[in-house]
Amino acid sequence: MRKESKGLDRQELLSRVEHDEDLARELLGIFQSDAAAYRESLRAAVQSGDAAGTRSAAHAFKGMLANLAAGSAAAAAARLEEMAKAEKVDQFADGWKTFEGELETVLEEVGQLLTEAHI
Amino acid sequence: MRKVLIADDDKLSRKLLQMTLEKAGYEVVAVEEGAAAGRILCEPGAPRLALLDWMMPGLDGPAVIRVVRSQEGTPYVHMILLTSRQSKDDLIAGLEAGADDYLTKPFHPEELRARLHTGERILQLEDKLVEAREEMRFKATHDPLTSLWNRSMIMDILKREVTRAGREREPRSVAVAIGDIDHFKKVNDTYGHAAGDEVLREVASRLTKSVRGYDAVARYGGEEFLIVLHGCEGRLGAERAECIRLAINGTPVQTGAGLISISMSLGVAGANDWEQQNSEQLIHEADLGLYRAKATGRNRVVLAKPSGLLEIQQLKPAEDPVHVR
Repeated sequence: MRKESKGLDRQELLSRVEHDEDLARELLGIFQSDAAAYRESLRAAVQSGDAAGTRSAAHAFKGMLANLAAGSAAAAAARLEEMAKAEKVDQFADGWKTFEGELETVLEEVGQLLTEAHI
Repeated sequence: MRKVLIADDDKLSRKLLQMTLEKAGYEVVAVEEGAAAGRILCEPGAPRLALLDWMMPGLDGPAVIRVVRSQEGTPYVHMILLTSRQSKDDLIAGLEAGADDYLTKPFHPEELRARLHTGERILQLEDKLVEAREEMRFKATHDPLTSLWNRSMIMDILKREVTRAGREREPRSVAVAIGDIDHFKKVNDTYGHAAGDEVLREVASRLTKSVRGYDAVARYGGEEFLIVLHGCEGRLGAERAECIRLAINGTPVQTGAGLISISMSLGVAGANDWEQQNSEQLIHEADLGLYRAKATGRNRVVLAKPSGLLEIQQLKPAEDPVHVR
């Protein structure tokens, strides 16, 4: 039996790609290969208190995660983006911690999905 | 195939857009930054539908829209902003930059297609309006039977040319020729008006082929035609008129009523010959030349000069015009 999804809403993802599993797999593959660089760029911006860089990197994550129907992680990225927009640098560390946890869950699930015969 | 440009720096989003649109039958041009989108949308033959991400490095979506909208004389492009922004102020700013519509990310495929269909309907309507405007513009400036310039348009062209020639003081300024089909009434009376119309259309075609691309030919009225010969002083203008005369007279016109032989009399005047250089005077002088051509036997060219009316029909190229006044 398929494990219950935590990070991705599979049905929503399939609906976005009109049940084209190959396309869904391709999108997941793009995310899997690009996430590390985006993550590093966001981490560096957060740690250096760079509000503009944090906003831009969080925005990029928000878009990708929303397209993958990873609602919870996208919301965490959106919160981080809002913090950066409001220049609440003191909240960056908490925002980052929450987002990183959500991202881990999504990445784990993406890795799992890519090994399965069907999404 | 309908073409659409997508501009999004997010590879995943770009791929999703591209695949969704290709499945829907669109030819997709995908770019990852705003400057490339702006450049492509301003090129001839560019896609007329565009999906632009709001936030992109370099030029963002609204900036691309402003670049495209600032171009004049290019076909209208229907531009849709892709945004995860949902505040009213943001949406107003996007629409005021010139966006036609916006789509909130993440988008649903059916909504995306519906928005593009709306854009296509608007573009079709715009095309029909442009076509109707062009048709009206053509009708306002052309003769309906021959599709040559009409009288009011050729007067504008001639005025402009005479002014230019006067300003630039070119020795080879501009010449005007007025041609009239000889015995045209007899053509109508003998062969009918339908054949007469065929003759007028064929004469128009021969006139157009006898002049250079930058000369202007008009139906001046009835069976009368006016030709503006750019860069010609009087004598050269008369030589060109002679070529026209030969082209008209050279081969009978094939009509529904049979072959009809026709000829044309022409009067010519060159702006450089006259001190008062204005279009009315030039036409008046060319008209006197035409009158003389008719009076002295038709099927000939007469050049009007201040010294008199000079016939050049039957001249050898190296010879001077024969003074017939």
